[in-house]
Amino acid sequence: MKTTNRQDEHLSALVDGETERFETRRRVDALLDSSELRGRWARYHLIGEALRQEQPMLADASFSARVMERVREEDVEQIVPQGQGRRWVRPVLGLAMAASVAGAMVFGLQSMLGPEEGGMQQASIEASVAPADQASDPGYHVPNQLESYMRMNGYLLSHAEQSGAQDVMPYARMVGYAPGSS
Amino acid sequence: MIVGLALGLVSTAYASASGHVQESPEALLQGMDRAVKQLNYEGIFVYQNGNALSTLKVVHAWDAGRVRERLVSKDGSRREVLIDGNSVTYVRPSVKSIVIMQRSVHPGLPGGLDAGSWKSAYYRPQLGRSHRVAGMSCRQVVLKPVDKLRYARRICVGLRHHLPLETEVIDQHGNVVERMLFTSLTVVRSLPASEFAPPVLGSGYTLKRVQDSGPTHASAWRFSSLPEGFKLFAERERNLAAGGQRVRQLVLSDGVSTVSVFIAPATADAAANGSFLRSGALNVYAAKVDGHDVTVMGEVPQRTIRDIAGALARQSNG
Repeated sequence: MKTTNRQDEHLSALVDGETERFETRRRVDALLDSSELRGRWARYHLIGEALRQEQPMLADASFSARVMERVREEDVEQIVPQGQGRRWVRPVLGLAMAASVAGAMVFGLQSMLGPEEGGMQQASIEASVAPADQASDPGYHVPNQLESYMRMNGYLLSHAEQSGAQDVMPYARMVGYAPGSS
Repeated sequence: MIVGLALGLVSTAYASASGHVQESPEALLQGMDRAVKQLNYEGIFVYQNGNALSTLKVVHAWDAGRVRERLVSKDGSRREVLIDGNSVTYVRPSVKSIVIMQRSVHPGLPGGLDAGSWKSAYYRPQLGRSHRVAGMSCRQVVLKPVDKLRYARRICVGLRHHLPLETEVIDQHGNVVERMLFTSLTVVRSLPASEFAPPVLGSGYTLKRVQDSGPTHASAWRFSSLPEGFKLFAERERNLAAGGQRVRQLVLSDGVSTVSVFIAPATADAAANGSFLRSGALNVYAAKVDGHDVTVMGEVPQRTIRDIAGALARQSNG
């Protein structure tokens, strides 16, 4: 029982992005030795794929749709973020690590406004992605993609609120449907 | 029932529209500003973002000085924005997310630029051609920028109600990057309150509340320079980051276009370092600046966004 609890704690830490990336790899490898946990992890194969990426990658056009599909499949709990720190992202296990390799900001914007044609387009990346060990700096919080998505919601709403005469319906962009978006 | 000022406005403030049209572009735009807020109307419009089209429904009421509005996507998965006074709710049932934002009530925050903003020195209002949209006559007003730091706007203002029947944002190459075109629009005396009922949500939604985080502290952030015509218009702190952490929002404007600069505690978001993204007229730049995550967004060209981001710095003694 104690072992299970510890494993759950490890899983929880992974969900919350509270572990260092190197440590995360070690823990996941250990967890995958358990057939029971392997079964649970199988539901979140996306994270497995992410962990085995040797190079950081950026979200492609369909990535946000795939991940948000994953969100739909999860039984996301009711979450009230106020005062609960990082744990408000807890249920979205499959997203936790994917964020660190795909770029949560890009994901957040893409999933808000839709990928590719008609949606958010990544015009250029002027700097290379940060090295992996940056995420292990305890001074950095590793945002997961749901977290980034929700933050982008807030950014866009806050920006739209300040839009004036230029936008007769400043929230239309957030409601407009873009093919391929969720 | 919500009985607004619709008929009153139409018959008084806009009486001239039915008889002889006010042909000044400024008058048309100012009439439009009022009509958009103070009329009761419902309509369907097509929203074009690049090459993609989507259809939205809008229901809008002016209830004794309080705006109520619902915007709902009519194709694809449902997206919805519900405005009720100072509360804005954004719902995406397909991803079970809901954001509830309280608009700022602090003095000095504009909550939208007023009608006088059309008098910006950086745009030249011109009358365009007469047109017909959704069965209604309208007159185009073109806001032509004086330089390449901002986009042009072309708005076809309805002659009867002064509602914007078609709006376009046009880039420096003459391309329409965003368009909104009504296919039907009806001004009504009243709308049932049920049109603005809060959305019914099932279980399992992710909720985020956005509001100001109390008084805004003195900022150590400064712009060494700004693109011609842009000024710092407002500043506030909001609980936008994870766990309710404060994010500073600086609002810049040239009188017509608005740019928001969000400054958040640093995260390990790798792709936030130097990413440019675009959605229709909205350009977004995310970068690391002085150990913070900075996101700059606005309906202006990339160059303007980049210049604003590049001018931002944190004073060491701040």
